[in-house]
Amino acid sequence: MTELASTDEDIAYEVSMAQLPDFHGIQPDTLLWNTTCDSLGLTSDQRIFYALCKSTHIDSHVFHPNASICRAGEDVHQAHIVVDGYVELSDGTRKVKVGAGAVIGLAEGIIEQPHTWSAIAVGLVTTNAISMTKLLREWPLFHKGLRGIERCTISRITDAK
Amino acid sequence: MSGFKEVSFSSGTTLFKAGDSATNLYILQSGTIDLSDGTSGHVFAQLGPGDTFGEQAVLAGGVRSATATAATDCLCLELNSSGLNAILSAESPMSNLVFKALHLQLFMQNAVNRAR
Repeated sequence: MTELASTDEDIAYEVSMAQLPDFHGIQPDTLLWNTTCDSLGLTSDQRIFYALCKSTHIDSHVFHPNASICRAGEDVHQAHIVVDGYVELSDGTRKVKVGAGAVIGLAEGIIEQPHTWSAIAVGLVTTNAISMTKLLREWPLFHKGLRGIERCTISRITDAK
Repeated sequence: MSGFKEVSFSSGTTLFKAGDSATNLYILQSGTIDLSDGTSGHVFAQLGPGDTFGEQAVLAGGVRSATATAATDCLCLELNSSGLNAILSAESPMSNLVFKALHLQLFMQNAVNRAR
């Protein structure tokens, strides 16, 4: 069996929670939200991740250490956004460790391709899970312009793999 | 398409420069756009019809990471950040969630590729 390239303790991607602010009830996508993010000097991915954390429309899942979150090649039933903890991703040729803010399986699920990554919880991991059945049912109702932008984003994600 | 405005750019026009504050995103309808490094001027991507650009900075309220120049005469659909917020606020929670989460997945994918 071929040894996979491993990054050991290196973390390939993680949204820093060091500056996790208290938004005092300010809603995302408002001018006040943006000016608050500006004043805090938040990065682009921090702004998006914190806005996603405010969503109450997704289910929270807890995975115990070494639990399988998904397997490469399997159909995507749920996409996961890592909220807390670390996940090891493997695609058969490489292994990387990712933390909060990592998104697994979303682009693949929308275009009905199988999971690119096998994902295993390194320690205790909390994710927010998006049901692909629900998403694909609602997808045709999304704003046409947003879907156009999303299709382009999906191509960039899947082409980059 | 509601919220979007049709705009045209002559060949050679700079749409935005790296470091500019982000106000608009674009969907290219016809023509070619060059994306270049703000410091070296190196063109690292050429966009064609159907491609979108500028959306990450608008979504996250940040600044441009690249310079966009019309390589040919171009026709684009343009949406400003207020227009994007108006569309997102009228969309379902699922639509909002997916739009943002896909951009986060792209951030992750780019970081994973850099780590290889």
